[in-house]
Amino acid sequence: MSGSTNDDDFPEVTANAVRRLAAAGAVSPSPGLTNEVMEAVGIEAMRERLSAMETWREASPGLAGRVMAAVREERRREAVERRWRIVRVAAVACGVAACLVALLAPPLPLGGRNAPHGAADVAADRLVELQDADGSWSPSATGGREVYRPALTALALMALERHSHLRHQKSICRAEQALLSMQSDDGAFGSSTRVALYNHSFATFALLGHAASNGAGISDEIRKAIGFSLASQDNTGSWGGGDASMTLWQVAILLKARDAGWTDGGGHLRRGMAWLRREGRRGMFDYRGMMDDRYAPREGNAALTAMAASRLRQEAVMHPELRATAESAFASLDEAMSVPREYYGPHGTYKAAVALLADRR
Amino acid sequence: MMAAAKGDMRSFEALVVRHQTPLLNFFRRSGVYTDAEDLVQQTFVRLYRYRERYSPRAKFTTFLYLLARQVRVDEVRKRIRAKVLRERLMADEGVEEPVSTEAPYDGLADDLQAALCKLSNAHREVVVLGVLQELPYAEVAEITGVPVGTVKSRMFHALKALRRILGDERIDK
Repeated sequence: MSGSTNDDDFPEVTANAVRRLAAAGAVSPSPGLTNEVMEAVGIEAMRERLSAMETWREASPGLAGRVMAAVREERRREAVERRWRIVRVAAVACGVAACLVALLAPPLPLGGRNAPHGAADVAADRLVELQDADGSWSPSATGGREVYRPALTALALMALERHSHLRHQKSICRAEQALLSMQSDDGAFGSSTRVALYNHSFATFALLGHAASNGAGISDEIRKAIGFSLASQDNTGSWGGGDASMTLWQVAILLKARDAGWTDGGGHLRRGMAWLRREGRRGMFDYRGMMDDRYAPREGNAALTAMAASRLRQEAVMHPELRATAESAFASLDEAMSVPREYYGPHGTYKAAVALLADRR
Repeated sequence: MMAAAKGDMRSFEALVVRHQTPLLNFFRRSGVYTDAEDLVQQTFVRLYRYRERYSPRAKFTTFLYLLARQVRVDEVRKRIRAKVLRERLMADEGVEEPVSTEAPYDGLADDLQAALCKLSNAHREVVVLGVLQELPYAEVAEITGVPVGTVKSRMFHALKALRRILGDERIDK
């Protein structure tokens, strides 16, 4: 190569190359071959030109520091992930062991609820630590959306009520007051957004449970809340536009209320159960009505199916026509849970395990 | 790299200092006009994540550019998705997309840069790696996952196309 990097030199370079090749007897200067040689020479010149014309850009002075900070963060994340992996494996092992113990051991004696639970006590203490001054729990404190404050407060109240009724009595009372302060004039809890029914369901269910624990009847506030539930029922007998989740929560509320002395004069509970029976013909329950069929595969949801199976079984004692649907839901659940699926998630797996364990007892 | 793979952060930092500038230029030449330093950072984070997969039988730069290439591919996909989303949102809102004010790459002469942009991805890649990053054909072949013969062929056609593009532009001027 001549080392030339200028396009203007191409003809001369080519001519030289051809002359040299021809002189060596390697080629005869036919027009076609001349073009090929011209092309090869031109390409080589282009390579040299590219190399010569490009400029090297230096990295900014702080780049190495930023990279190392990001790498150290990655190292920290790896360490946390490794620890969690160990915890997860241990948790699965404990879960399996707990299930085996639960299946083989005799039921716990009454009053066992107030005995120390170890991990449950630690979790309850942590819940109390997170309680706000007004007695509620803030979803945003743990990465959730503030609009769910009534629902989260209700869930925390239920958890404390169930696991540490005596240890955290003050906290439970404050939570109850906080929930009652969130009730609006129409009986609903929380704002009137599309999540209102969720908030309302959790809050009403928690307050009913709290009243039952204290041996109290249905207060005026709870009566107003039940009134809102009844007013929200669809013509089909479901709640939330045919959403099994909403309907199951509302049916659970009415069942609990009935246990506390409420009477279903308008047939709301009966219609809700009838909707569940119709919906349960497929065996599994899902978020029908909440999502478009194109995006939500109609394969059912373990948590909802487990809830439905439990409610239906409970109600079948009084209404034998529900027994077949309950059994169908249990059978579907049993079959579905034999195939591990990410779709069900921890909540679904937990609910299903509780329902199936109760069924086997 | 072997020391870095075992978690020696000083060795890793030495790798960062040595290779950050070549990597930065690789991204800029590959058509990433902005955030090239972010991609350098992502490449080193990925290198740290995959450090245990590095085998001393392979050349370190091959491993590094393999990761850099994947980072670039991921970035391009991300930008395409963002662009599609932005266009949809603009269409929904009835707003026209603003003209990009992105600064052009200034590492090469303008005409050469413009010509490089006109090449297909496969052709540009071999020119960037083989000519501008000065990697041997064998290494370019490993990074791009094609045989050496294909790299040579792509290089030939890419340079030929560059010459044609630049020649055409000169005539236009």
